[in-house]
Amino acid sequence: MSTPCYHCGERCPQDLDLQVELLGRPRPMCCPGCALAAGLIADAGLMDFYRFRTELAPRVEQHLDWSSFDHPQIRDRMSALGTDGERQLHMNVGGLRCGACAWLIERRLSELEGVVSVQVDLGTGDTWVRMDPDRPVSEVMAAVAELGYSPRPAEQGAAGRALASERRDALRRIMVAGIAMMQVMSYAVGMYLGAFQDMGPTEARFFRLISLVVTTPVVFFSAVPFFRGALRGLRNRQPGMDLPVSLAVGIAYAASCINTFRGAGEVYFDSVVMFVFLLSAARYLELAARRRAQSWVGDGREAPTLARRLHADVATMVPAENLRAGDRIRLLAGDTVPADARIVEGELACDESLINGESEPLERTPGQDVFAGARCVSGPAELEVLRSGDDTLIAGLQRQVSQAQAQRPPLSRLADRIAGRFVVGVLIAAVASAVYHAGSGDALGTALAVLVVTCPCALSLAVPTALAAASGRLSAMGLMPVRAGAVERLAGVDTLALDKTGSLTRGRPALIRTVLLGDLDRREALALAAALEHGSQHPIARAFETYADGRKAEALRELPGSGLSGRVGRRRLQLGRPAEGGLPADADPGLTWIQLEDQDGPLALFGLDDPLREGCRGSLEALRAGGLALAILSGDRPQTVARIAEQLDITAAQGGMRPEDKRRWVQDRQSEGRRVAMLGDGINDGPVLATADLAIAMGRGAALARASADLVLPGDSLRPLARGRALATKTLSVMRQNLVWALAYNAVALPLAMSGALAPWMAAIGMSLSSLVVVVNAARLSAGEARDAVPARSVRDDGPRMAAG
Amino acid sequence: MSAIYFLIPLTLLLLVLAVVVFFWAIRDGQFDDLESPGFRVLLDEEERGRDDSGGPQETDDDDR
Repeated sequence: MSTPCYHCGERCPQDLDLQVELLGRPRPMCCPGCALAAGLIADAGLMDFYRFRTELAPRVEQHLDWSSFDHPQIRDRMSALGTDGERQLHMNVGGLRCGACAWLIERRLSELEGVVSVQVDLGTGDTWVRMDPDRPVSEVMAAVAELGYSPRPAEQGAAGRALASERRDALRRIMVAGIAMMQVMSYAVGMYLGAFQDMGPTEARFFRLISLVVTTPVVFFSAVPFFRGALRGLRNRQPGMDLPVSLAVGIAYAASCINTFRGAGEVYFDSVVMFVFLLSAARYLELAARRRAQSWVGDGREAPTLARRLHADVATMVPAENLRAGDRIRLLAGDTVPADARIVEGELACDESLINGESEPLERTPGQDVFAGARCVSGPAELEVLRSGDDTLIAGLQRQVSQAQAQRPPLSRLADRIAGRFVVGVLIAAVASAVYHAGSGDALGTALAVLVVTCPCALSLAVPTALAAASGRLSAMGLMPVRAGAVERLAGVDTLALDKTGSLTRGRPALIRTVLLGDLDRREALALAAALEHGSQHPIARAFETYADGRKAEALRELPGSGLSGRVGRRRLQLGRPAEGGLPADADPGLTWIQLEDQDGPLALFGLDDPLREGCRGSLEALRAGGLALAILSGDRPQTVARIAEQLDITAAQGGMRPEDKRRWVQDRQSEGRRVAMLGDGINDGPVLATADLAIAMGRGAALARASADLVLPGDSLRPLARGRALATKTLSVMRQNLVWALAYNAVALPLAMSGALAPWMAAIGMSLSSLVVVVNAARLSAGEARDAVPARSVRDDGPRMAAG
Repeated sequence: MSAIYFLIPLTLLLLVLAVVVFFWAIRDGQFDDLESPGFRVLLDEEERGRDDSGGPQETDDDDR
């Protein structure tokens, strides 16, 4: 029974005893990163963060180097010098969970020297910092990262600006429609009352005129997007919901204008404005939910890299994009490979997990190639650049992703399919009723009544309201819909293919077992190993960092075969692979074993493995119970994959797969008629994700995977997926209910209107009621089961208060 | 009754003014961030640059 970290909520390792005094009591911490962040918060007097937060903080990851952002070329893309001589830095921060996080960042950054003002937009994570132009930008970003958040450059380019202006445009239209609606509704009430109280013709005329004047900007400004959408649909021969909407608005408005100048007949200005306002608002909400997720996800590019270019043995730091084929570069341990290159001198071990899913670093010798995006675990080496910038393997993958996405068939919505036929039906009905009443009554008036009453108010609201409610709820659950159609696709899939490294496992080795061979106790053995591994870039080092007690080894040397040697105190230590037969009989052969020994003999054996994510088994069970067939497609070694598959009880599992193999597997299933969802986190998964019917990316994975996904799991757990799927299915059924209701309403109202028995006030009330029913039904999706703000990351009751519900 | 012939156009004038003000507010970025101002009120007890030297520096509700 392990305790949760007070800062981030993750489980603390059993033998770790790290505590920080917060709010008057010592609190457990899960790792030095969280402890450091908590300590920073306490020392800076920002304890209010723990008092007021409504969500747990993100887990603090270390090992990131922000100095590349100080390079002028890169820095100037993120910031500009203002007229007052200050630098205005614009970045995007990920991991903001609630208001207190944004407050924390603002306060912490304000305390940095040279920072004048900070502003954080909680909704999108966009952060603006005004600072002294001589202070390094990297300092600001490192301060944010220390607290556990992820700072990223916010592209100041066209894309960001376009999105912002689109949003403002939508707001303007909604505002005009809303203000006009309030006015016209009140005039309409006056007219209805006047009809009962014998209003004179002059007054009636006045009201109609004034309603016309106020409605006009709504039709010619606020409703324009609908007209554009309808025209586009007609041109592509795929009429969507915009068509009946535009027809209803246009015809009702035109007819009402005619009647105003005729002086007789009914006017429907109030219905027109109400309709435009409600629909614009519903679509805006749906768009806003997606936009927020999109800004979180970013544009698919990793942080810019710097390269050490050699020129007659002098190394200069240049941005990776400046490299040309034939340049000589030097790579040291910890660097990210800036371009596809061939080793000329020295040896390099590279962690290519983000590129091909292989979780073990591979040793490379002169003559072999390394690829841009890999991380160097050991060095140094001199290389010659083969391909840079757009020609690298990664860039190729990015292009494949965009291509695949462009070719993806658009989601055909039930509502859009109905829309075309609906229009035809209504027009026929209107003409028929006009013909029928041609001799005996008010033909034009009846035809208009038909058109107005069958106004697709409820029909067009059916889908966007449900999606807006569902998107908000999904985000709260820990699943972010990023692309349009994500929710419908989630409900429609029947197969889930998972990558292993990064999705099912953390992608980092962790200590599983310790076997003591000498006279040391466990804590001391681990601390010694940590002292040796301190500063090493090898993934194995991460497994030991939580056990460090501050000591560092001296005379540290790397041995061939990933070994280390050094001196701590009086012990001359060595950490490396155990000799043949050095493992005890009951040692699990599936673990990676390394042995710690000193000059007197072996001290301890450590068994490492890349463990399953927490709650993995439970989440997969829930998914299977929800009707999903599970499979593992991984680029990792088949033996490792087989072991995991066995633990999780999954029969369809394959290792050693390359991206093309994965893509073929997905396509084979699709041709069998199945709908496949793919979960991945590496760059190599980008093209496969675009092929699948639904692409899910892990938040901590490669930026490219995130940007090509439909859904993103920002947390570390797969738990939200099962509940998200249940919600998506429910959303689809709510959409269907809404559509059925809308059509039923029209079916009832239509005969009434055709027979001429429908008064305009009945039509108006009918439209409002039907829309109300649709909206309330959709709102059921946001209410739902209350207690799932942060699933199963329980915090003690004297800790932060969870958001109500 | 004839009053409305005057009053309603007057309200229209005010409405146009309201729309103009809204448009300015949108352009000025007032609607760009609708969430932060809410929590800011709760948390900022010492504002920078405020002449608050006499006020209490620490909150006294440590027993939450």
